[in-house]
Amino acid sequence: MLTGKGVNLTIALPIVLILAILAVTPLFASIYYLSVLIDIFVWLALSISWQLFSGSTNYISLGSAAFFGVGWYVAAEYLFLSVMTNHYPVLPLPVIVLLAGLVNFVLALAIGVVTLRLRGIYFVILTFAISQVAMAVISAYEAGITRTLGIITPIFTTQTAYYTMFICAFAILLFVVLLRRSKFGLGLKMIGQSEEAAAHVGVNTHLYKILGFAISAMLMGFVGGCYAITTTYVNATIAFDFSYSLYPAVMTLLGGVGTILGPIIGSVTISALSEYLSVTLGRYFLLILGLILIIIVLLMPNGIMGMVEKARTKLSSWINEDKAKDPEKPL
Amino acid sequence: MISVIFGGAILGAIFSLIAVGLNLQYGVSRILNIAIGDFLMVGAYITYFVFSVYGVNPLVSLAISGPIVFGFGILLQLTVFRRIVRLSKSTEELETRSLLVCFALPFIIENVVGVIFGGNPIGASYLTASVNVLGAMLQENMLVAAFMSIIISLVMYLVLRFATIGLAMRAISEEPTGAQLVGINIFKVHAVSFGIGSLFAALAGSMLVMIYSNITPYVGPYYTCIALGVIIVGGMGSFIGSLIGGFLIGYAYYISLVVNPLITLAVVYSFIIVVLIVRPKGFFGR
Repeated sequence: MLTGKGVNLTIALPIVLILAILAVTPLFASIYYLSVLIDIFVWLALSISWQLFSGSTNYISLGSAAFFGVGWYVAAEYLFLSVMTNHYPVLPLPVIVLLAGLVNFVLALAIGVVTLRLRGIYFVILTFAISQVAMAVISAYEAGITRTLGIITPIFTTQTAYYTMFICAFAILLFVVLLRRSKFGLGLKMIGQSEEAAAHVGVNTHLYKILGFAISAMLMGFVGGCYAITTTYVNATIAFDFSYSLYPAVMTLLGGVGTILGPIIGSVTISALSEYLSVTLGRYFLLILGLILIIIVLLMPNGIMGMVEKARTKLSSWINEDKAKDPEKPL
Repeated sequence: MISVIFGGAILGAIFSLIAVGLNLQYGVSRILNIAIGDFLMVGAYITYFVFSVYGVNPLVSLAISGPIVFGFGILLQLTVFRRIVRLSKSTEELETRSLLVCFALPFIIENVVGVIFGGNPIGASYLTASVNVLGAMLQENMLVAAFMSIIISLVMYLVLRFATIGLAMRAISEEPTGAQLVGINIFKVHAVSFGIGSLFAALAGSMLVMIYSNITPYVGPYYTCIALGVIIVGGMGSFIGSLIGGFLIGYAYYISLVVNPLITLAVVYSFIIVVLIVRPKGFFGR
């Protein structure tokens, strides 16, 4: 698909089919299934945004919650001030979502300039600390200055919420697919493989990393902004919950880093699985989920896509081996 | 003023005990055990259990909770982390994968403890009388816990400095390949150091449960964050660093607690961020 040499039908057809089915789902599905699908879209969009920077450059970020939460908060605050209290003009929803993303872009540029000098485990901890500080700052601000706890946002129908998240997730997917093929995307990938080599062939590694980080944060801001439309209340502890940092990383790593299918498979399986387990097992479903995560890491260290890749090479080498051996078989 | 000096030092001593364990695990086996707070919580629950059911003195229970969690740590290292070490081709791969496992561990540990004991806060209050130390009123249990923590850390220092196993640990953390070449069984040392790290966390937990009565199955991440802060400030892989870092974080924590309890964690995290930006390897990192 989108290779410039025409459209590959075997890939394009299923995609169009899935999109068409998802687009008409609200016509027949119950509210419960729609809300499950909304959750899956959120995780899908977050994982793909995470993959764009952390997946390709190997700078593992655990700060997604900071950007998701800021996006959520900006959109919720604007919705509150415009729709509920008439302080600001009422803007169309896409504009509010764009605003949430742009705030994040600027924020992440500033954070990236300072933090992207660090590598490995230090970067992990730094991004984690930033998301925690964001949560603490907003709760302290609300507790000390505005004397409020969270924001109430207007209620939209489940159908509106569904289509918002659906469009958000697939717009982000399309954007990331296109970006990965650009010079910029290839540069990020090269940084992940060897930063020194990338710098030697003329990739401006520092600029690429900061821009990549900021774009990924902007996408997470879009997701947060859209998510504000699907919910009716938000506070700092909910918006900056650690799971929004952890799950995108875990889903992508389990699905397989470095591919576009990895985060898709990872997020869909894990969010569907945890939804199923939480319905059937109640509050202790995390116990089973934890066990499954560990087993996956032990058995499929390169993620599901890594496993598929391995099986494919094994299969093809097995077939080739048979062909190659045949002529030498006479003995 | 004097109460701040003592209060910060007491917290600092306990924090450094946890951080020394975490640092030992990371320094030797490159596994950043994000679940360390949950090992602490398990230690606290063991002490609570033997105290409330069998009436065992909480100080004596250190001799029960320590070995149990030590064994658990070794078992975990042998079954899970050893396999990850074998599978991983580079240190980065090892760090990412073990981090993933360590994120999954709290789900399991917290929920198992939650199923057994329920989610209500527990405590095994012991030695709650206050004593007057140079004008500051301090609880006896805090003094005992701080004293014990310092003793345990000192013993660990002596082990690292003089014992054969300590020498092996230092060798592996400085030169993993070289250590293997001169005949050190790295898998054995990995397991022992992971066990010792878990042991220290359990001891800290057993002592914390004497002081605070707000321990729940879900306190783990809270202490993990503090311990992470300590080793970041002190420098990863540096023993002295985690001792001093423990006291620095202890004071930062205590002072912000006195000023405004709402901002303690924000202060600790901001401290971590500033240190990471200004001096990424910590004050004593190599």
